[in-house]
Amino acid sequence: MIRNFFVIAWRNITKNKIFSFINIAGLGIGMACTIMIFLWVQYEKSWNKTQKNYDQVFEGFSTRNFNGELSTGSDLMFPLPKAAKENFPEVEGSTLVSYGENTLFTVNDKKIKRPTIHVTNDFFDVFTYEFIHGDESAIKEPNGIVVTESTARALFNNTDVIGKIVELNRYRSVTIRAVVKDVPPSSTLLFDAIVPFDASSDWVKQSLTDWVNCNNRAFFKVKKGTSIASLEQKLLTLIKKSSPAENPTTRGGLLLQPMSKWRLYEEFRNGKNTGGRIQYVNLFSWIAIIILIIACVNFMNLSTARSEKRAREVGIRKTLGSEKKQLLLQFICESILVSMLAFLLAAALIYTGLPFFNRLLNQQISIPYQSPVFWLGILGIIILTGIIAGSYPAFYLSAMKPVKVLKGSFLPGKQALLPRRILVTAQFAVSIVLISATIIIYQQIRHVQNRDLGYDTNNLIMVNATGDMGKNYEIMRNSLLQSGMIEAVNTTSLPVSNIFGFTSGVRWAGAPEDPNLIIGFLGSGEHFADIMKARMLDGRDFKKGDSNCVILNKEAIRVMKLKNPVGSTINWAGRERRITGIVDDLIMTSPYALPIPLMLAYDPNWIGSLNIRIKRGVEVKKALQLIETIYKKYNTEYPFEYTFADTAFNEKFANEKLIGNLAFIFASLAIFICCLGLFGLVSFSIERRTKEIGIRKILGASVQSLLALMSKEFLLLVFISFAIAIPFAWWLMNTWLSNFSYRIDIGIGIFFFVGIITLLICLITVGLNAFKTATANPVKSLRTE
Amino acid sequence: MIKITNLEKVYRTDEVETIALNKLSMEIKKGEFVAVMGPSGCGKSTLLNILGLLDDPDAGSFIFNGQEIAGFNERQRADVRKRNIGFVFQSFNLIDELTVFENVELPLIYTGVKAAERKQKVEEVLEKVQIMHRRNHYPQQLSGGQQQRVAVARAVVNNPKLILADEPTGNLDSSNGNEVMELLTNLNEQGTTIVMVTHSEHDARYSHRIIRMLDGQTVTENILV
Repeated sequence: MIRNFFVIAWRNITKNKIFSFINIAGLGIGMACTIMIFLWVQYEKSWNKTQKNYDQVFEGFSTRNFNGELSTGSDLMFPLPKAAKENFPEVEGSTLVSYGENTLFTVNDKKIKRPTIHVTNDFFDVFTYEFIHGDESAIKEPNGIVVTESTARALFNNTDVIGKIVELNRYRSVTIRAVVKDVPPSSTLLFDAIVPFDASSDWVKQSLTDWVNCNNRAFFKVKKGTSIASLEQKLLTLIKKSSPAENPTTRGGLLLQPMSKWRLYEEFRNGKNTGGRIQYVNLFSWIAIIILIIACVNFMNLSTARSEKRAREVGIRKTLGSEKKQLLLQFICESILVSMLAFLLAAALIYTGLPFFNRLLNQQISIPYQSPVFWLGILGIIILTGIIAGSYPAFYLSAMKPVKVLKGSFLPGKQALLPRRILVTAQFAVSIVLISATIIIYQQIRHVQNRDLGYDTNNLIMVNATGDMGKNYEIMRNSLLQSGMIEAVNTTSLPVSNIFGFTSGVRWAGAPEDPNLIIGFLGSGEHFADIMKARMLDGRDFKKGDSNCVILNKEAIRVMKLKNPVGSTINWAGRERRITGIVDDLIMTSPYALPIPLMLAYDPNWIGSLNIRIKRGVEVKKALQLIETIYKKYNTEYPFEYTFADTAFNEKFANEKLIGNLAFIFASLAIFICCLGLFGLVSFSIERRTKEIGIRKILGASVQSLLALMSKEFLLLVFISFAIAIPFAWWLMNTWLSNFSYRIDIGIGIFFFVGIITLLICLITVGLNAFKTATANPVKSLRTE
Repeated sequence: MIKITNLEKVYRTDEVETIALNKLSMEIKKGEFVAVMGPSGCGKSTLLNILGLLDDPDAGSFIFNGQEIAGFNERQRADVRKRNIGFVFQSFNLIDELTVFENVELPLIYTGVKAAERKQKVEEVLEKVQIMHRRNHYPQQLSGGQQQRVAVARAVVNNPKLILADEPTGNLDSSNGNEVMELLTNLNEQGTTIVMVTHSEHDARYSHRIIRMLDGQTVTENILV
């Protein structure tokens, strides 16, 4: 019997090519979206799973109150992990890990820069890796390091490198004691080498007992079944007890974040873990499912619209003794067959689309051909899609009374008219929401990209400055300026594309006892305003010999409530400093946030970044060649590495751009599938009304009036969906925009625009179909009856 | 075989109430060939639908093979129907997407006959109606007469005790029509009971007995044999 079902299903599919195409194309696209999104979700959830202590490892976070706002960060104090393990038996292992740095490796003449992490020697008590050579004891030795396979190959062309000596950053000699397999890209801790903190350095010696400064991450491996809340309390108490005085960390809260949340729940607000990437993962999972449902709706609508054709078959089968159950099964089989064919299309789409999707997400998602769970999932999606798409038509068709359908007194499809209209309205409402969302996201990104940053990111290059830069800076600067290609040169303590340093230690005359002010700071040499093209509001830029001078921005003056600031002094890091100038607000951190208070401290020797502004009109490639030549002349040790300030700035939009791009893709697919369905419904409705249209034409109807007649019903539905979708889209996007301090307001114009676009798309879809019939010779259409 | 007593059927729409069967009583014996005649709207088709268990009477008794049928639910009726009754329609009602063979095979599938036995039975009956050479064609590729022969083959493949024919020659020319009537007569001679609704006096003459209906009641009965 099942064979019979599939035979007739197959013949129905091949016979009604347009309907089959619409169904298979729609469901195929929907399935491809769903499967790709699920592969992405799987990938996101697989992060860090290669770690053997996955369920037991926690990262410490401290919540501190700065400028009246709670901020949560993973930076903790050096002695905490060790003390925790010594004091609390439930802590089985603990380690301190740096945030990661680019380290220069030198072996003879070979120099390469690789990302490294610095760790305490108990690192492997917490984290597990696959060793190719050597073992966990490698970093117990003060100058033993662990490198990854690819680092070993890059340095020595093979992995058998135990005992080889490498120089780090030209000052520290270390020995390779172990080689591990490359870390999977889906890891929170990414590195090409693990280096123990340099126990001989003054900084580490001081840090061992420093319970105030927080510069590294602390990880804990906790005994199974431990109450995390009580351990968090114990750790906080330990910090309070060990700190010499109250500080933001002792006043704040402590939180242990399990490894399973590191990737997807990385966002904290007001001291609470509010989610993060998981919200987008969930959002797009839902959108993919909705697209699949939109495609299922097409199947439902077209099936019930076509029921006139199937009704007779139902009548005959019932007369011949078929039970309702068997008919239900038959129609479900049929939709499952369609669903299988749709999967073939989906598979082709996924196969060709995955590299593009990976590029878009900047991920390395692959198809797990070997995984039985994956294939079970696929099977589940096929069957579920078939059942969702087929169930309503199956119930509808199998409930038909044979007496009525065979007598011909029955006008099939009429009863399903209202549900069909509701479904089409819902489909379009979803599409309109997606289109509106896409446009609003793009508008917001453009709005922020066009924001006045207070400085000019164009033609500004930031060169990594290390080694001998300070010694040779003047010569380099003169050579660069003499070339005629360069407008300005300056040095700063870090790249100017962001602010990494914050301090709460600024004091000034008239300040409250505990000002609770967090201010960003950046060390700079002379010509800061020049290089940035920043506006000085008062006073002047740094010049040579300005020792112990600072420039504050407008926001800092505002929060510090300074009157006549230029010439007055502040105290920071144990020194009196004179304010030489006020600069307009500079947007150097998040482009979506309000300006932060900022302090520029004059220090020509604190060099992390060499900033070079190329003259307008000069060919960038030539300028870069010049800079490289000069750089290499005076910095023989280090490779030439640079970033464009505008590129660095644009990277801050990566997340929003990704959301915008995904929304654009999904919105396009949704509207495309909706139009496929609309096309099918219109062609069906026209097929049924051919005779009516013929008669109207003979009676004198114009082509326009016929087009209007055929479009009216569908356009009305689009209007209704518009009315439903707009308030929802407005609410949704306002909620999204409330994440940003610097944002657009949603204008009525956007919805007007979306309305016109949707209407045009629908008119074209209906018109394509209707025009042919409206202009056809009426004699022909009547003769076919 | 069939005994109906005081059968009533009323069709209601919002405004109109149409009495299709008005306290109709009749009896049909095993092996009979009965023709039901009457003007449009007299209730013939309603009667046939109720005899075929496609429709439910509103009141009255319907005994089929000694069993009271009135009040059966849809599943029970489908069960009795598929084992005992074959249908022949004016418009043939073959499924366009199935071949001749597959159309005839359908009733056997629904009664759960095994594949090998199905093949044998279908081929047998196709031979009988002389359409075997067209077994792999689709209905649209056949003439009207051929289609109706397939429909008859489908109606009898299950060896039903009763065949209900609703104007079986209505869409056929006279020579094709005669062929189909011969076929029905043959089946009747082999013991199958036949109830046929027709407008054609010519066709009615093939039967043993003509029941004439008007306004939901029988008016006269002519015994022809």
